[in-house]
Amino acid sequence: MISPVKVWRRQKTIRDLLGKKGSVVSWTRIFTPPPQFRHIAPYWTVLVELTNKQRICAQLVDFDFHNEITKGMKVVVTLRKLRESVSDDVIPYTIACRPV
Amino acid sequence: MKSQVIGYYSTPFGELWNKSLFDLTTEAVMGVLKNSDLEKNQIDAVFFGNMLGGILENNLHAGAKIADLLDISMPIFRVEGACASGGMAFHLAHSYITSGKGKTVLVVGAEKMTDVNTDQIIQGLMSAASGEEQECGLTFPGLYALMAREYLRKYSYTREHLASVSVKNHTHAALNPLAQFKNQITIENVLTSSSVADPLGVLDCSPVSDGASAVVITSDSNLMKKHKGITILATEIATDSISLLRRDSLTEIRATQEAASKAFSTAHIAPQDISIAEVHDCFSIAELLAMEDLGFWKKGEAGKQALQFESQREKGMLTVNTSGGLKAAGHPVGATGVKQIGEVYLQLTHQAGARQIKCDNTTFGLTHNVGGSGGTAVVSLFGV
Repeated sequence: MISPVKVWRRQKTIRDLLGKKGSVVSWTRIFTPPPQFRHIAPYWTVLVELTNKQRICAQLVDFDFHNEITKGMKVVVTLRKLRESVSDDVIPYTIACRPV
Repeated sequence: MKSQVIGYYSTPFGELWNKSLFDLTTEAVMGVLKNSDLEKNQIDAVFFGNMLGGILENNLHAGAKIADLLDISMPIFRVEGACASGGMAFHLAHSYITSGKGKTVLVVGAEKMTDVNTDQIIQGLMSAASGEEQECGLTFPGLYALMAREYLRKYSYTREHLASVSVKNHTHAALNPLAQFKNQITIENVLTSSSVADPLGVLDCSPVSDGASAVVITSDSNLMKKHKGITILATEIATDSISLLRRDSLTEIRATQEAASKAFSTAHIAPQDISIAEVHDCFSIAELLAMEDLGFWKKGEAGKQALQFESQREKGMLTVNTSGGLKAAGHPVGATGVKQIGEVYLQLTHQAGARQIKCDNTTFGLTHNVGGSGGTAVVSLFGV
């Protein structure tokens, strides 16, 4: 079980990031996941610089992977449920980036 | 105060199914005592480098555990700095001696990684990354892949430049009886190896390994006279943000630059004085960055030099990773930093067997141990 208190604390930071825009600095596709991401592997992770110069990392979603990710590609921060928890647990939503 | 490394022992590195974490630790401690011709009661303290004992097997309070196994009651300290645990343990052991708290100290690094399955190891290693990095599923290969992609783009290099590091380290490891992988590989093998975190393939990445390595260091003049040891000229540590997101650059590890700069300054020598070095090649890209950050090669040139195998044995003035590095010798996390020191010790004392390079009493050696994606770096310098 993921501690509900930890999820609750994290939500404040996540809320502040939602809707923020930025551009891709670097990226990778991960083939060897930890257990909690096994169900969506392989997945793309991007390192993004937001317009306020803050850097974040997140999975890249809603992107047609037949296209190529490019440095400088414009993205926006959105909310996703990327992790599973047990059925009666607080859902650990997290941020993801999608192309603008 | 003069201090020396006077003895070294390492277990082989690899999948050591018959040995537990503390079997390996005990073997390394007893082995180094034997190699140094010392009794337990001649040691004043033990520093134990280990990263994953708590996470993987609920095994902490290692100091008391070691005291139990070895039937000793001196001060024993567990040191953790992710993959820099071994180097950090050595650094603290050296400080213990130079501060006068003891004269002869044993440093042992050990890791047991093969008792659990791969995705549990991946998760365990992710503990060396920041919360945000863990939360989005950035694994260790993933973090270094972000750096690799930017490095290749910035300097117009290809995966071949990265691959040449792994090829060289396997070539060296073929001569190291304790190495996990003694097979030679080609650049083609690396390029076609399964993807781990694009652009890094399996053969760009150091393996999961078990092992333990130990050294004895002393400031006791009688012991130094009795043994052929190597002098510790400097050992320095620097820390940078745990998170790759808050670094100034994706293609430099500032902690390495700072630790190296402090070490060279303390020892009054320069990068061009080093003939033998063990640097932290957790991934192929890491060795390229290290060669630049340590001041051996100019920024942006490491790819070019590596593809020409400039740091291979019998090539030029500087030989790097004769042990096989982390890639080919193996990377039991806590042991690596100590093994690196042991390898330089073997080289400078002419005990490196088939992989011996030319050394005389003007030869200087360097070890470079990094934690995480560059949050910690330990650089140590040695002379005869």
